[in-house]
Amino acid sequence: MAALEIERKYLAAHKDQLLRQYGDKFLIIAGEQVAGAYDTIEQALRAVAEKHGLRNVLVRRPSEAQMEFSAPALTLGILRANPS
Amino acid sequence: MPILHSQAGGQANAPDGKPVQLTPPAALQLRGPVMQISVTINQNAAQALIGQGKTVPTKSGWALIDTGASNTCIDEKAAQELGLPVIDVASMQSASHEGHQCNVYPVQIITPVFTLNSPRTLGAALESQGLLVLIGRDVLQQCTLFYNGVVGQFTLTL
Repeated sequence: MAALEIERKYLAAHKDQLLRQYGDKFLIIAGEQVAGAYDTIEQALRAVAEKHGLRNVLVRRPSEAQMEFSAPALTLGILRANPS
Repeated sequence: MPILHSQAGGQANAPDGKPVQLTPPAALQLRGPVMQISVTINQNAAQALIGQGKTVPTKSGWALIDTGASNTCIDEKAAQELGLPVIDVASMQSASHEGHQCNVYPVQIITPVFTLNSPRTLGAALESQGLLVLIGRDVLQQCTLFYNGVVGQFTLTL
């Protein structure tokens, strides 16, 4: 199972409700429960460590889609390209 | 204003196999803007863990500044060795792989001069490239980067 699959499915299924309830706050979602709502990601990360230690929990705003990442040199495997 | 200033250097192999000293411009062109760094869990999370009497491990290695990368990456294996918690999953876009999923970790990058906050750092296979971290544009948003290829130097300021 991919990391945080339960949490990501829960967020996707309850997005509208969570948006109404928490607005643009950063949510900590553990299992199928919202474990906290914070104004900044820094506050959320502190709370994650305080309450969950090093356990995997989802930290995301309900308004945010899944992060998309682009790094052409990395994905093409040419970070260390040497034409000589 | 904290300033990290670096002059590139190093050796390469000549066509006859003998090592030759690189000039700073050649070293910067070959190796890119790299620096020695340490990584550990995000500062706020680290403070909370230390407050609970827990240890916060760090790992040292090379970081490459990559202005082509939208986000900062940490070597996935190193993130697991550090015991970093996964806080999200991201989709990595490339020409050859559609939507490869990778873990997101809360990280701080400690340079010899200052600490860079990277609360959403993607796990990627960097070890084979000799790197621990790839510094992308999300972290560079906090900085000014000056790349002087003519003299083989780069400067990063906060």
